[in-house]
Amino acid sequence: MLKEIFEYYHLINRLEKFLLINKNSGAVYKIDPKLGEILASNLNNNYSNLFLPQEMELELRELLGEKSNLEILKESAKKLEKRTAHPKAFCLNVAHSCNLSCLYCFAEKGYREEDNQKLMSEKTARRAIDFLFAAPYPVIELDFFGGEPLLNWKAVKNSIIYAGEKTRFSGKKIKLALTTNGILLTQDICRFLNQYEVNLTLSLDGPKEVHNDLRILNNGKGSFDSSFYKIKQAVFSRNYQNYYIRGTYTKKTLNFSKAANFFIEENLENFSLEPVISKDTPWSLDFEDLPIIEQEYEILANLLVKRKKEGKPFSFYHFNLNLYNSPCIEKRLQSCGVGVEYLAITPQGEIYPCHQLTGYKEFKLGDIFQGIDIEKQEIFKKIHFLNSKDCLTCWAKIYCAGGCIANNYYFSSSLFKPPELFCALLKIRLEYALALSVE
Amino acid sequence: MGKYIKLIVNPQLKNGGCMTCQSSCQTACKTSATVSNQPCEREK
Repeated sequence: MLKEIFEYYHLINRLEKFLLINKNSGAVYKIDPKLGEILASNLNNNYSNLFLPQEMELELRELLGEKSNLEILKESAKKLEKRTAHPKAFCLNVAHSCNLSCLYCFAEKGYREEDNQKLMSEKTARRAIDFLFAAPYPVIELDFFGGEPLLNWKAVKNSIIYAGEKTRFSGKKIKLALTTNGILLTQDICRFLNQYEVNLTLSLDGPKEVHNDLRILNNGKGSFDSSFYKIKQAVFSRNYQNYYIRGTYTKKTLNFSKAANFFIEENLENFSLEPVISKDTPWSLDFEDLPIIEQEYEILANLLVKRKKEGKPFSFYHFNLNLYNSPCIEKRLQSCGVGVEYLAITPQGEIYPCHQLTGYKEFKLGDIFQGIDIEKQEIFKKIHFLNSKDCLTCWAKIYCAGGCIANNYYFSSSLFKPPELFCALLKIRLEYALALSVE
Repeated sequence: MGKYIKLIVNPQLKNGGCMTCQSSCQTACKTSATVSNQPCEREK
């Protein structure tokens, strides 16, 4: 039965291209449009009445001989579960305080209300940096995050200088990043961040009416005018390099291709647009929004095709697939290293598995003064897509690595159960990314 | 392959774990991304 083939392959029909993806190896095949049309027309009846001309059928049957990579993945997963834990990347929450009150902010759900100490002391920051440098990796990462990290600029600045000095003695390389809403950026701050090659993630949701919808100042007014011009200046000051505009779209701002157009018009051509992580609010996404979201990714993908032809491409983070220089097995299995390689540090020096799980006391892993509770860390070593039932049969697993476990926990109350809505969304986005990657 | 089906890429699932590459949450989105937009940096 030809139908059997589709237990192992997923058909993609995007941007007038047809692709087949092997669910267990990740192999990508381009399909002739004649065959693609026939397969696509049989998709809804699950290929049960699929009949093909003989030469097409023979070629399709050859795909059944394709090697699965599941056994290799399982072997690597066993090793991952037994690995010795060392931190590689710290998200340093230097300020659990913000000059904005964005209605969709995940910090509201976690840490902001209950903290007594809102700003990280320089001593705590230095201790965290020492902790990170003690790890045996040649490249380590430090991301200044909040709240709004520039509310604690002095600690940020001195931490960067301190980390820079430590690289000289340790021989390690450090990658620095800072996520900001831009309001407190000054020329001096930009100059310093540029000098130390700190990658900037700048929060901007789109044009004024979109941005102001949910990104509001503490006085309730929209923050666009306070953020936008500072962000533009910061990007200009670094010659449009080493930055990403990070936008969020919500149920109320579903037409995110307009935000993309706005960024491009404003020469802010490195951007990502992320679905809001929220439930039971007027701005939360749900399944009925998927057709519009799909349409928006289609518009964005077609815009990229057009701009590439004109020699003016832009960089939308999620469309930047690199099929030919792929990540290693370990990365494909568990992606971010939450709770093991990637950790978040609160202003008090508490250690959490990631910035989105900060404040969830059940996941507190210790602190930078006493160390990590390795027993509590054990469950995070088991995080990989082979431990998620929903991922096992999914075609996207080799490319998505099982998604975000903080999202899993937030929506499904389980670290191992990905939320259906976000899987559906990610798969749409990935289909366009794959179609864009194939000539 | 043949006339109707062409292999574009069969991603090599090679052992690595050298941790030279960037952790996904340190990149642009601060939420989970697909891993394929985080290529192996050792082979750049």
